[in-house]
Amino acid sequence: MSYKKLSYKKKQPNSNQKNEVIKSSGNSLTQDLKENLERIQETLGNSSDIVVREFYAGKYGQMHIGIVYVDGLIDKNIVQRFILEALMLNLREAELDSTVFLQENELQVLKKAVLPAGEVKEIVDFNELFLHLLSGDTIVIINGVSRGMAIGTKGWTDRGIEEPGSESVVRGPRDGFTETLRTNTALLRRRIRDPNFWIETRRLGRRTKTDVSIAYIKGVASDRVVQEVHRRLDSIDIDAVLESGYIEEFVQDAPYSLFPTIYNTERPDKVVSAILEGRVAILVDGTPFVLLVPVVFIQFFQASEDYYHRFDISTLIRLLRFMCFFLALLVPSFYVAATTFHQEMIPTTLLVSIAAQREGVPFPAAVEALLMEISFEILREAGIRLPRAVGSAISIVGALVLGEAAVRAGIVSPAMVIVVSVTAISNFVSPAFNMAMSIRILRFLFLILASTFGLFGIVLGLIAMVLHLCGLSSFGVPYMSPMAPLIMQDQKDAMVRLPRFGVFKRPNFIRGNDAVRGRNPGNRK
Amino acid sequence: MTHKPKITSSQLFSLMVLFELGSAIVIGVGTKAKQDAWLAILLGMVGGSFLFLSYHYIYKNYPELSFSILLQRSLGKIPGKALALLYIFYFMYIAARVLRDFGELLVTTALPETPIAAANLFIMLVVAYGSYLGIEVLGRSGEIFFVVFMFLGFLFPLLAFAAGLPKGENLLPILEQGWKPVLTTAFPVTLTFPFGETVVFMMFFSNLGSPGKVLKVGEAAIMLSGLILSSIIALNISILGPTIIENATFPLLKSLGKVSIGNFIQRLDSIAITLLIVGGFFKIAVFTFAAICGMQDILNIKKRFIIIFVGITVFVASLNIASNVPEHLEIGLKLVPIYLHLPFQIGIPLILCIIIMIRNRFAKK
Repeated sequence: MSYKKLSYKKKQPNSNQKNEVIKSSGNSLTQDLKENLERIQETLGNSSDIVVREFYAGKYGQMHIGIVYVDGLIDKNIVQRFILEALMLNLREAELDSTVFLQENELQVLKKAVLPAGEVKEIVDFNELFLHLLSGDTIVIINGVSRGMAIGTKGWTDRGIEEPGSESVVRGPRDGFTETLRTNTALLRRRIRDPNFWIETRRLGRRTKTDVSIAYIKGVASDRVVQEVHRRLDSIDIDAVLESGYIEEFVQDAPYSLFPTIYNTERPDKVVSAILEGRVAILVDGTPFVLLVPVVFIQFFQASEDYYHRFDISTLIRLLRFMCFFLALLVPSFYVAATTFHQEMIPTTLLVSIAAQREGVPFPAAVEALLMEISFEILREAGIRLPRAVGSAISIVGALVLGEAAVRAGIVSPAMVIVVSVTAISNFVSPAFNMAMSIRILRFLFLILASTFGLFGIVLGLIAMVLHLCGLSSFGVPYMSPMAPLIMQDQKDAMVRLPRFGVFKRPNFIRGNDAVRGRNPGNRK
Repeated sequence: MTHKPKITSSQLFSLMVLFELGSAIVIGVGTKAKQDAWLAILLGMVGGSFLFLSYHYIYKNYPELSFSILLQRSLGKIPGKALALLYIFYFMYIAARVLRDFGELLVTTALPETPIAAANLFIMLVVAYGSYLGIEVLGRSGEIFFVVFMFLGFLFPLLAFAAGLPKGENLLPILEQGWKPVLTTAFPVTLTFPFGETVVFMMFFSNLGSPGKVLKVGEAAIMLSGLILSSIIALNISILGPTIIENATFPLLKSLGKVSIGNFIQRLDSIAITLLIVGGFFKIAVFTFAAICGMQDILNIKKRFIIIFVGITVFVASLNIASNVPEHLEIGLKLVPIYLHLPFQIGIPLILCIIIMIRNRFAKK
């Protein structure tokens, strides 16, 4: 039902892209090599990174060949050794059987007998040619043949596989995704050696033509979800995809909700475990952040580390995370509600000391809380953008100014400083950054509710929040499952985590047909 | 309608329990029977479960239809529509009454300086949001709040016993003045409030995903909520004593206020307020949503407009049904059970049962 919402976004699905392709009837390669090469250079505006090389090959130099590549996107080594050498030297030495020449044209000969390259693709028109050329392939064109070849020579400087910055672990694999799609798919493929693990790729973005891959295990992922992912990706018409966030905004179920309905991660082990549960991963070239769908609320409180540590510890830590969710969300509002509306709820001795602290503070508790929360958010935002060298200075300023000086100056009460710090620290407990963001925003809403309606406002706000959460769904899966709708079987790995030998089945609410993960009842005596 | 929203049996169960405990757990029910109030509730529960049999009988004969369409199908178009409309007004009126109850309670106990209109408006906005999201979402959030509600509900006796408050002698002597006061409070007061109010769920039975389970789920919900209600009231009586209970408007609040453990855990009114708001929300939401669904069945208007209309009507009515609290409570205790609850909860369903029974007889012959 909520899929309908997407429809307004796809005003003219890919119509222009298709027009470009149709136009290409006058766009195909000609037999004249000179003309082809001139056209390439002309179209690319003689850009300096395009390398065009013409030469004569064959025993008597009878073949006039041109190769084109983009400097920087190709692996020079490959081009040098396997294309240039092969064509210029090997072809000269080769005693080509004349019958082969009779049967096939020169291009086929090169393709089948001369070039020692793995990825070779024939191209007919310039659209294809440019796509390959600009993706880092090397184009080979022969005079007299109205076809070309694209040889896979992609190779550019890469960041290399490092530990992901946004999600670090104590125990667990330390590799993270990189900006190159191929590396990322390899990281996944290395972990799942299953022929049913499928990676389907398409290009999105009129100008960037970014590769976007969908990875899932056929049979484990629900077909309905896979189809839905395809459908939503197909409906995207945009000029550039620079990060998976671009895709996320288009495919998520509730773009106006404060809560994320798509998960993103930099960790291959997390993606693999999600794929094994029956989820679908969307990988985007140019970013280490991989999207996972469908996603449910509790997933944002489960870290991949939960599965590497002992189950009892993981369970307790999960419960701690839930507690921290509520602390981060509600501590300031509870403080405001209690001090302004329900003083009787606070034990008398504590109340007296809070009242004594607040005596010199000129603001009502709500304003005080708002002031402190906003200044903390400013500090935090500044801390992210600042150069590392300045960062420590900021943290000192923050700690001193917000902690000590503000209290001494009588602007805020010490109790409020504690409240803000508890909130801030609890907020960082959330393993998923985007959930932490929603908590940050909601905290202010609850602060306003608490300052106008007290505890009543908070509880009613919570009811509205739960209603909203229950109303969300991600790719057809209710956001609050397996709690609401309640699925008893899936409680084994939701709020708590039972030992792995107790969890034989994939989550009921996500998976396709293949439910059973393994059976090992005999391993406990 | 493209597809009918479905709820699971555990969702219906949680909704019904929350609905029945909703206001009854905070407002003293059956306190006219003094220390035997718990007995009056148990009797009411038994009566309620028999009433539910009749609701189920009606539903069983038209399992695909919601109550308002069912009335038209069984009584003919025009009388059915008229009766459905009456039921809609009844639901709206009760929603307004409950809303007023909660508004008054909040204003008197927690927010003395807030105008009741503001509190009621706020509740109504959330109710309207819930109604907009529909029965599926209400059911799911019911499941979540059921857990919260039960947790807080069990915390209360635990803390009360830890503080050593309950005194068994307050419950004695049982049946001091014989069965009469117990029976007169059970019928009609505790029978109709909260148990008979399950009549509103006739609107949602057809939404249950597994239709065979309506009777089981309904009876289980009535039993559980009856037992919880009765034991909470008994606990309240044993803490406060029968005379205070009879005059207290909100006995749960009073007895929770008495809890004090080690001078630290004290004044737990906040638990009661939380229980109250959650339960009250579901009660108002179920009544309001039932009215909205009924209207949608009868009138061919967009759901959005119906929600706005019903929401505003209930909100305005909640402020104007009585000019002050005593009048409001007086109407609620004296007039509503006899003139509204009895016909709508017992009279009409029983007549409907008989009509269906006779018709079935004829159909067989």
